[in-house]
Amino acid sequence: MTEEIIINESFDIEMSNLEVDDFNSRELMELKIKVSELVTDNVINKLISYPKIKNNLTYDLPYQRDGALRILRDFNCNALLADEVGLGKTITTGMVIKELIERGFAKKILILTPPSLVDQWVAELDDKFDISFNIIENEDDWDVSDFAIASIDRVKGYDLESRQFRHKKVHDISWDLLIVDEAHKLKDRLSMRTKFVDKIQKKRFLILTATPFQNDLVELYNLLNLLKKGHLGTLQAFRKNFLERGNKRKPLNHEVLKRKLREVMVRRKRSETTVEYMQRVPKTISVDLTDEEKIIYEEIQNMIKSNYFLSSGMQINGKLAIYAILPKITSSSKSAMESLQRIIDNQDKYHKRTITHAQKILDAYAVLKTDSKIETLIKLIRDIFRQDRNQKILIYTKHPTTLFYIIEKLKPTGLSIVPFTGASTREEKTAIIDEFKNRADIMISTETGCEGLNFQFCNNLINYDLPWNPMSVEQRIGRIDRIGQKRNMNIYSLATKGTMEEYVVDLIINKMCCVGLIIGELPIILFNLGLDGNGNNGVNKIEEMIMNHFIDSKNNLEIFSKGIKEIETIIQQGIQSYSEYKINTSELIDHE
Amino acid sequence: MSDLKNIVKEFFVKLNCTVIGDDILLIENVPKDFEKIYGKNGPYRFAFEENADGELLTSSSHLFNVISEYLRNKAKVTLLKLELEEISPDELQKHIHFNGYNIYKINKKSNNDYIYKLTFETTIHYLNETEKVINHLYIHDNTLIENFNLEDYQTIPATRREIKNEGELDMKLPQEKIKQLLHDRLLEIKEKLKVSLDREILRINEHYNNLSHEANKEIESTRVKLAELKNSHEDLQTKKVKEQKLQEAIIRLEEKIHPQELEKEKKFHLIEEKNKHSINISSKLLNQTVICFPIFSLQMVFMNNKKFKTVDAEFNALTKQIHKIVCECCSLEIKEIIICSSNHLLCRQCGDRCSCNAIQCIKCRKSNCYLCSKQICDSCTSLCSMCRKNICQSDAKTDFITKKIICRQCSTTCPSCKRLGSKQLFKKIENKFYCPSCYGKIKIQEVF
Ligand SMILES: [Zn+2]
Ligand SMILES: [Zn+2]
Ligand SMILES: [Zn+2]
Ligand SMILES: [Zn+2]
Ligand SMILES: [Zn+2]
Ligand SMILES: [Zn+2]
Repeated sequence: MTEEIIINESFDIEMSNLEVDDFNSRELMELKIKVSELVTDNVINKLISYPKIKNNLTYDLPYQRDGALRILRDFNCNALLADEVGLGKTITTGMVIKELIERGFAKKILILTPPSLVDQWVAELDDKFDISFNIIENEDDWDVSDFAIASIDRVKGYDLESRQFRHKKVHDISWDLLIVDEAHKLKDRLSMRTKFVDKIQKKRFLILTATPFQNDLVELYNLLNLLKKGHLGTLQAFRKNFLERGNKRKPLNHEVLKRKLREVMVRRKRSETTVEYMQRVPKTISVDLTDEEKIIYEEIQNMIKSNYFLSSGMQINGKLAIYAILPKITSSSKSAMESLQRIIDNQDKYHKRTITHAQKILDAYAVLKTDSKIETLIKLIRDIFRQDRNQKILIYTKHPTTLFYIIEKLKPTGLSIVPFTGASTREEKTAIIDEFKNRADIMISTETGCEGLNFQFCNNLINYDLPWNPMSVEQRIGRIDRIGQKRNMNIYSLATKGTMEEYVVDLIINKMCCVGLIIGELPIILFNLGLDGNGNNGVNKIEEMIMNHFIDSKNNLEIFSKGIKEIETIIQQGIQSYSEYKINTSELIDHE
Repeated sequence: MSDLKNIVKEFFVKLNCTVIGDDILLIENVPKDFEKIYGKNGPYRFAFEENADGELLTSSSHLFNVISEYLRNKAKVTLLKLELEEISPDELQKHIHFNGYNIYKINKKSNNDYIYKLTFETTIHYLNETEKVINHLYIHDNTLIENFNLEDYQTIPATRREIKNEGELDMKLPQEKIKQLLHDRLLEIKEKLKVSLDREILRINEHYNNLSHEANKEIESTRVKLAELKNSHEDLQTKKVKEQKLQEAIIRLEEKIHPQELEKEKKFHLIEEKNKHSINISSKLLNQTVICFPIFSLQMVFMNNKKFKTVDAEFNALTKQIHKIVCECCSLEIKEIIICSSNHLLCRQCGDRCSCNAIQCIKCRKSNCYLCSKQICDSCTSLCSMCRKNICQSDAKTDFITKKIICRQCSTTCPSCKRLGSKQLFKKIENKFYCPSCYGKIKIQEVF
């Protein structure tokens, strides 16, 4: 049987732009044609787009370019990219995307990623590759997005009543390139997630995962079957040829399987590269409150717990209301006072009793002589600079109010401080980095708009307050935990002694962000656990869990700590499984 | 090698850079926008031979991709003028046979005509391969022309104003032509793709055949077990349970290989594979050059025997051809000057000679002699003053009295003096007509 080859034609004459410019001479016309005739790369044997993006990349890592070239040249972009975590799969993939666009191969591209990585992908592709991807939120977005990116969890929804995928529009489009990040979640052949991906019409399909094989060889089979139907035969044939009875992990005919894998896979290990990874050293800085401060702290908690009423007399115990005020109150005395003042200023909204309570706390603040938290910070900064005056410190806070308060309070130290509350253009970002690197001692930053800022020259990070979303904390640390970081990183986190803050810092810093994982691994672990997306309240699921435990504990630290312990256990199991997956993958693919 | 160097030199000179050197080119004052897309700041030092002190350039160097891209949105339209000479009267004689006429004077006027040179870059994409073809097409008067090549001509730049008459181009024409030009190469690519596509299709077909085959086999063996169970001697209760289990297994298997579903899935992947092996052709107009050249309108005034004749003609300075001299009778183009007795320009087919040897054309007012029916030309046609009929010269006589022309029929000869005159003026004496003077003489003799 021979099939007819499909031919698509386009004829672009751009008559509307036929303006005469300064470059209309015969010599230039002939030059243009001569050069056009010269530039005829039949096969892809170099990345013609690389010089364009080179300056946007902080480091030139040859293995990234090499990987992109292999994917393009040897696999025609139908491959499994299984590089170990930390090698920059996003960069390698970005190079593939850029090259395909540059050479005219790709006009419709779709990236499916875990929820927590969508923004990161968009930022990287924009910052480093000058490609702007459109985030798919609603079904209509498919109509206007040639370069689309979506959280797979968001778009895979299946409507049981109509027996259709809610985002079925994606299946009507012929994609030039489909990329699925953290694709190991597609190991279940019968899941809706897998079916959703399998139904996408694609000319090129790039599957990204560091752990294509987790527990069961059948998972690997399913992943490859998605990539290339029948590459490993039918499932029955695969079982017969490669599975030892009663052992899901040790394949029969290991060499044959490995060869089959190599036909569709690109995998590099960190040990094959020159990239060095530095440790994150967590340091909790205890803030010891004065007696007066303790009273204030307790009064605030009390107010939220039992004296937080609307003017109608309804108690404000809704989670969202508490989410809104709690982070501000715990950030700094300044932002706490601001929140209290807002209650007092809204006489119509809040109950008289709440307003009186708030006023009482505010009065107590007014006569307060010390701010222990800011003093602890100043002492910490002095200690750091005492060790080495040439170091840099990056201080993070969630609130601009706190940011400016810290700056004000640090003024007497005479240190050079640069504030950062967001930047949009690459030029702005470059200027900020330059300022911090070459002139300032300290940068104080909020999280907004800091994607793409690389401070690998700084190895001290202070969390003045701590987001309860571990992904935000990863974002913060990610600014200094980059290729090029030459020293171990000190991650300082301030926590008020004897409060729930200590437990939260312990969970997020000691049990999640600084447990020795490579950057990029925590999001995968949370993704595997189904905890990287947002919960019902629109905030990150972990954050929501902590918050719920806080509300349920009603200020009882013991109950709260038990709740935190539960989360910790889940996370530890996730980390455990993940390390097993890594070992399993490595044993199957890497070892002889 | 020197070709590359020339390109580089020419390009950077065009960018108003300072280009120094011969073997190695040092480029200074590079514009910012170029530095940005090249990803490297100037000055540049380019070498064209190995081991020279500079960045080695070969035809596959990135620089040429960048130059190509830099020029992509530039030099889109080029306006050129062919400088062509007018024609002199002497030269005219080479094109037109004057047939003894003399040129009295020539009035010249020039108009522009245009040839469009369209340069298309056609890119063929298939799998991960790219092929690029550059085609030059020339269009004149909305027709593709083959016999023109800009390289054969010297040009000077033209201005937009000079090309104001430029009309809309029908792009269907080049589109069709390019398709034609690609045809053979496409056939080759198709053959190549078919081999690979067939292999992939085989893989998919085999996979799905195996799937349904396996499941069918399993169903079959379950059915066999079911049949065996019926004949076995187990107690009824166990039998019933086992039977139900096997029935359920069959249903499950049948669902799994639901033939329609499987077929649908297979079809999907076959189509996907066909799309993977499709060929994408995109043609882009790299440059449109409007080549303008003069067409001279000539007004030639010929002179012969004090008669003037104005003849219009067109001189195409490009083809060096004289056009638009046409026979006034049949409108065919002519290459010689023939003018009839009534001052018409005509071709040989439309001309004739009168018995008087004058040239006569079919357009001329033609008459026949009333008496002898012979064709007569304008100049040898006479009008009888008596009967007002047209007559030929041999039938035309002169009345000796009035000196007017009269035809043979209207004339008679006086029997006495033998002179010829109009019958009407003659008088009859015994059946004979005499001219008035002879009549008078005879009558006087009768009296005396
Ligand atoms: Zn004629
Ligand atoms: Zn005549
Ligand atoms: Zn005539
Ligand atoms: Zn006659
Ligand atoms: Zn007559
Ligand atoms: Zn007479």
